[in-house]
Amino acid sequence: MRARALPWAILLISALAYPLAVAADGGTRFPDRAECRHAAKTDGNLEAVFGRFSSTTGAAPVLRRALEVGFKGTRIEWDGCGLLKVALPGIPTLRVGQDFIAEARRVGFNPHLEHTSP
Amino acid sequence: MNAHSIAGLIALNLYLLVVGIAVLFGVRGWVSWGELLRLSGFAYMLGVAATGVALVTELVAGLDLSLLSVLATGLVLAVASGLAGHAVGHSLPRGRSVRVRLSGTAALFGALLIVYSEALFRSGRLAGLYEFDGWAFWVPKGEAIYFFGGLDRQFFAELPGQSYPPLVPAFEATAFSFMGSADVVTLHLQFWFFFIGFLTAVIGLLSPHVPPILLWPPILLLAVAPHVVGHALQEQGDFILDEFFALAALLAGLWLIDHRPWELAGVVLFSAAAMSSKREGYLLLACIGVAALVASSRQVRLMWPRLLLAGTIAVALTLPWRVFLHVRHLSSGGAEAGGLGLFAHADRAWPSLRLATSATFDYDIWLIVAPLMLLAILAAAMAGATRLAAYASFVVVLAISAFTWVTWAFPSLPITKEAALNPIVRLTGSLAFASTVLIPPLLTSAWRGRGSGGIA
Repeated sequence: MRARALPWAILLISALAYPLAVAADGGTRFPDRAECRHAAKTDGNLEAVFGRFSSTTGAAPVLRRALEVGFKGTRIEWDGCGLLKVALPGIPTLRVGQDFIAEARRVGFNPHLEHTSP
Repeated sequence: MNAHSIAGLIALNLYLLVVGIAVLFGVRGWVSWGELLRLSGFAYMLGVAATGVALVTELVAGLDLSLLSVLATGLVLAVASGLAGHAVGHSLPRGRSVRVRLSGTAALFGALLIVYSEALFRSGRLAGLYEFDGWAFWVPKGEAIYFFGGLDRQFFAELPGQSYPPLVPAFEATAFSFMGSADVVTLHLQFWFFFIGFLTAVIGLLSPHVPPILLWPPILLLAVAPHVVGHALQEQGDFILDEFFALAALLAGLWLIDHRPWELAGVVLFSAAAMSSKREGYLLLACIGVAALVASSRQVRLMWPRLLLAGTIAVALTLPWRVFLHVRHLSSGGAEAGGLGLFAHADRAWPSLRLATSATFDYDIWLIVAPLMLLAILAAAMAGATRLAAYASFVVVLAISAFTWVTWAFPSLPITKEAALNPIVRLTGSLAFASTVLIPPLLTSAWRGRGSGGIA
């Protein structure tokens, strides 16, 4: 009985050894959707993000309204974490971005300033 | 996000396993629960092949590929297989015990394979989509099926590789459905499931016939080959084609020895799946067909009708896609040089052959898989296992001829192993995989000596 169990024990131990070794080295990391949001801290490669959506059904009305109020260049694109974002890229500096956000808030939007995805 | 997607992929592959178990019941059955456990990898690959071929047919017929339609497809396959198995007299074992004998040698090699598969899983979990063909058309096709439901007329006409059948994109779209989003990062793990399923299928099929010391080392050799380590999880059709091709080659080889009908049924299914994965599948499966016909030429009346019928059914299962290409006026993927164009490019023949041979035997790509195959064939032939040795020899010679033809018949391909310019390295994968699964039975024939006749 013991001799029969030994090969299975070898398999079980080897199956557990690798994950345990990985876990001992700081654990397994699972990326979060928030990791695709890079809050703007410095000038260059900035965009104003009006919102993130799981489908175009949610994103399209926001895009339409942004274009209607005159935010030309706003578009829908993947954010790299499985979501669609409605964003206006091409903002050169933090100062310009903050001015834009203030303007957008006056017409009912609440965008965030982010660095465009690397 | 990643954990949620992984859970979705586990659900999808459990579903494929369940479908495959039903297909296994239909074509073969099992005498004990332990035997079912041993053949679970084979059952999984049967499930992948049967579901893949069915999904391609549904897409061609204009059906939308939704989660519901995929589940319904599996249900239909499972019920049909169950009824077929019942009709031919298969039944479930009465006992409940699950006993699988595991030797110390098998446990040691199995432990290595487990650690390897865990490391491969870890490398694939957060892998980026960098491979050119993957992001150029394999994954976009999968995304198009996922988002639009079917084969969008304009999108599929404008992408490169339009003649490639949509088995892989169909699985990618199905994986997206199970993951809940078009997660092209975690999608790499679907190809991990295919690869590990293939390895366990081979081990399960061969372990009753082959001593562990002759079975495991060739499999581990393939697993650690540089090309496999670097590319096995690519979101493309190459490796799944290699896996289907190798399983078809193995089952055809086993059938030549012991003539069991389920082995030929498996050849049909895996051949159809291979031809539904990439257009090269037709060429590769022709190599197996001709090799099997030549190796069985002493029993023409008994074996040729069965082989020809099996080939006809396999090709018939892929006809809907060929008709679809014709109806939509899409490229059929024929040779660039045309039928007689080979003669106009005769100067490419020798360099093409040299390229095919050197890629097959390149240590930095496939380690010593090809030389080991030649030694195994020689050893089996010397031990008197002439049929298996002849079959394997013809598979090697015909496959290298086929690889040569590809470079020769497409004059735009430069003579190079550079993956971005010539697909020769990816092509040779099919022979490396087929060699790996044929080496153990060949070596076993040689081990058992003259007069054994085979491995059974």
